[in-house]
Amino acid sequence: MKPLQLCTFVVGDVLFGIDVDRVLEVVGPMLVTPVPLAARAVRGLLNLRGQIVTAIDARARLGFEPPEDAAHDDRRAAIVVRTDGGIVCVLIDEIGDLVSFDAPGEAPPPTMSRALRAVVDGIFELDGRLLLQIEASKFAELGAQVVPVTGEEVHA
Amino acid sequence: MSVDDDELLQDFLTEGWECLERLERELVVLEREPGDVARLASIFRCFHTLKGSAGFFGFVKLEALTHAGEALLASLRDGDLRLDSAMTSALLASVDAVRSLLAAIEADRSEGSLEHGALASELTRLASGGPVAAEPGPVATPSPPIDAGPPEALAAHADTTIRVDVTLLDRVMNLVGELVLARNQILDFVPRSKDPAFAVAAERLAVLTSDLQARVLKTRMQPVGQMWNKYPRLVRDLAATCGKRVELRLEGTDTELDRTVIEAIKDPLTHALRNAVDHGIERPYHRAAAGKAEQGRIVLRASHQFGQVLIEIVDDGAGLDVARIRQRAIERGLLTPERAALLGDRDVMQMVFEPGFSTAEEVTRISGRGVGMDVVKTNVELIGGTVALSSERGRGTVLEFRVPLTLAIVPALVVTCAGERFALPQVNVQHLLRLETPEQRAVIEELSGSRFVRHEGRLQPLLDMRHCLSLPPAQESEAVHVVVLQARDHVFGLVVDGMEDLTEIVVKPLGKELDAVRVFSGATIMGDGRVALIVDVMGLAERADLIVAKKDAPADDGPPPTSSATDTLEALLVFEVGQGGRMAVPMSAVTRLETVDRRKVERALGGEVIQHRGEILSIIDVARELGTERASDEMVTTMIVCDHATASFGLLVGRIVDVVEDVIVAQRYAPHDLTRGAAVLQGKVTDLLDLDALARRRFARAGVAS
Repeated sequence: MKPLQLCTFVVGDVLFGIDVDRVLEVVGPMLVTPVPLAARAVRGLLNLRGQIVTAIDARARLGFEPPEDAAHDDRRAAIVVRTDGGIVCVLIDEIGDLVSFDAPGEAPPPTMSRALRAVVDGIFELDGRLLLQIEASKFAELGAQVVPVTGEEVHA
Repeated sequence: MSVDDDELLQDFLTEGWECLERLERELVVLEREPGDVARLASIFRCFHTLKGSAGFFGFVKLEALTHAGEALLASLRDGDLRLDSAMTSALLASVDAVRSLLAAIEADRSEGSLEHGALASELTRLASGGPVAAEPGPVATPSPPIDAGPPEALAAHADTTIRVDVTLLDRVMNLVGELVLARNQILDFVPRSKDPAFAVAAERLAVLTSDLQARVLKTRMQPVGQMWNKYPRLVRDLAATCGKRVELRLEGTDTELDRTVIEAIKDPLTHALRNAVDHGIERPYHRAAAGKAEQGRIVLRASHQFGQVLIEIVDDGAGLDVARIRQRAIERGLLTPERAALLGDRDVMQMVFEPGFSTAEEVTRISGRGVGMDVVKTNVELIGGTVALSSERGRGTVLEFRVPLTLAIVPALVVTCAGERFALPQVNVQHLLRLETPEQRAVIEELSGSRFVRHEGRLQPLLDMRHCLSLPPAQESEAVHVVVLQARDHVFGLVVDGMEDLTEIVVKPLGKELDAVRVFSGATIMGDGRVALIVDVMGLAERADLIVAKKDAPADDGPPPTSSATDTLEALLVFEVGQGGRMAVPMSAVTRLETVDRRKVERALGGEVIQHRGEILSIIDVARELGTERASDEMVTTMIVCDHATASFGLLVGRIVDVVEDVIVAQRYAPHDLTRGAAVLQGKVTDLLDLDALARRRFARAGVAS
């Protein structure tokens, strides 16, 4: 079997990984144009060499608190991934190394938060730390969240 | 099958499809000019080429069929037979059969299960159908010697064109867009540089980049003729089904359009052509009786005009029956009899674009099912185009589509809101208002919480872009910027923070992650490299509940809607009249609201008038007109200034209650000849005042022709 290669990154205090075949590139901080009425995890749109790409905030998407220091927020790293629905840019806290595994990871336990269980494909152990493998296409599925005119968020 | 064979087969299929396209086009022309030997030879060669390749690959069905067709064409070419319509039909049928065979071969390299033996026999029978032949000739008749040179037109075409994947073109477009940004950055350095050579080089780069951008855009363009080739056949078949004779003439087929636009107008155009054949062109004996040629003519013409493409469908048929449309519109409840009487012929004709309208006396197989011109109009408007119709009874009808050259680049107005830029497509922008002084701001009226803007004599709803997009409210500022927008038939004002310039933007799609957000149709990259969202004006209006999202099209043969045939809500101004009575008039008829003193009412020959803002306005006291008591004896009262089809007048009413948007359920009761029935608005019965009837009575009494 072909070994599974994961590109690792940190969000909050957790180590995540994404199939390296899905990762197109790692980019530095970019100017983002916010999209009103979009789901909360959507940070906005950015210009990736002429292609317009949606930037998704991994913290919001995976159920982490926003960083306390707002200024620090704009300097976060980002990885560009290919999903079944197109290309998205994932804003992360810190980029990690490439790691290989010979066997698929464990299934996520039911005790894991719903936000994580929706996107985590497998769990690995790396140097005594847990590594959560994220499925790119599920990560980009944000569902139909629409903000009504009154300003409150509803989940359809 | 080896790789080489695979390539050969691909070549064969490509050639086959091109042959088919040519055959279809030329057969229809041949029917019109049966003596055209050169054309006959060209058609013959197509069949021959197909037969030869089919034999090479061992496609026996295709070989047998094309052989039979070739035999018939040989007899025609040699002058043994003369082309008649039965032969044309059989040949066209064989083109269809070849198409299905090619499709089957393309799909799985087999000829599929359909049998075409009967058609082959029919062709053979026709080929030997001359007076001499007594029995059907065998299928294996040796083919006559032919001159099988390559079709020269095709060869010449192939030399100068290549096939390119559209995604590659899109990528090149993106790169050119990036190049433009890089150029802009370099141009920023020019003033800071002391070297004049740098300025010259930068200028050269600028010119080259613009040129490159223009040319890359052209690569996405296609002549309309490529898609129109199939229409002569369509019209011919349609005419035959209807028992009519119609010639379709194509003009301006080399007019170039973005392929996405060509694709988008395909259905509306097909529909319009069907309509022209089915309803426009008369039967031969009717035409003869009217002194016209028995064969009708439809001209499909494309041309460039003011940066847009104009597509005209001109027929020399019966023209629109305005009286019939008027009657039909009344029957369907689209017009009141009074309103219909007031409308000019040109306006009445536009009723055919209303949903559910159809004047066809008989429902035919081809059209006349009640879904039609409204869909044509909607589809053309969807890509930022317009539709116009004109007609002369007995002379024919002209349908005009005006469509943009491309959907990839649209002119747009850039506005700012909460620190971001947004692009509003120019097709939706009607007017820009910059209101600085309190006098200028008087065009904005507030009625029970809703704001309206007075534009061209009408009060239109006014939305705040920040509010629509759930952005924080703006600080109070001196100037108010209002963009008057139009989405389908709805006009509304939009308050924005500021306006930048009108510019051409390159439209790029949004990711699937943003599907749920309906108010943006795409995004674009601005000159500084940042992204700006493109507002979907229709989506914005829907979000603000100005327009109810369009429901699915009505079922085909279902009964037409009886009450109001539109699916939009009408805003109504509700007011009190007399002792607790509630009445309403459509907001669209209201120009403004005023407070006036009854003591200023004067009597003139034309009835009661009031001097107001420097003009003399006819007034109607609604309570007195209806024969009810006024609610109070107060001298200061509200006046609703209405814009009637022919005149403006003021309605003296009681208190203004509200502006409501509710589905109008016109209850079938008629308490008064000055009402259009009643509706339940906000749970209360409200009479709908009939402005037409009221104005007629008022002006008739005054002896004023209206």
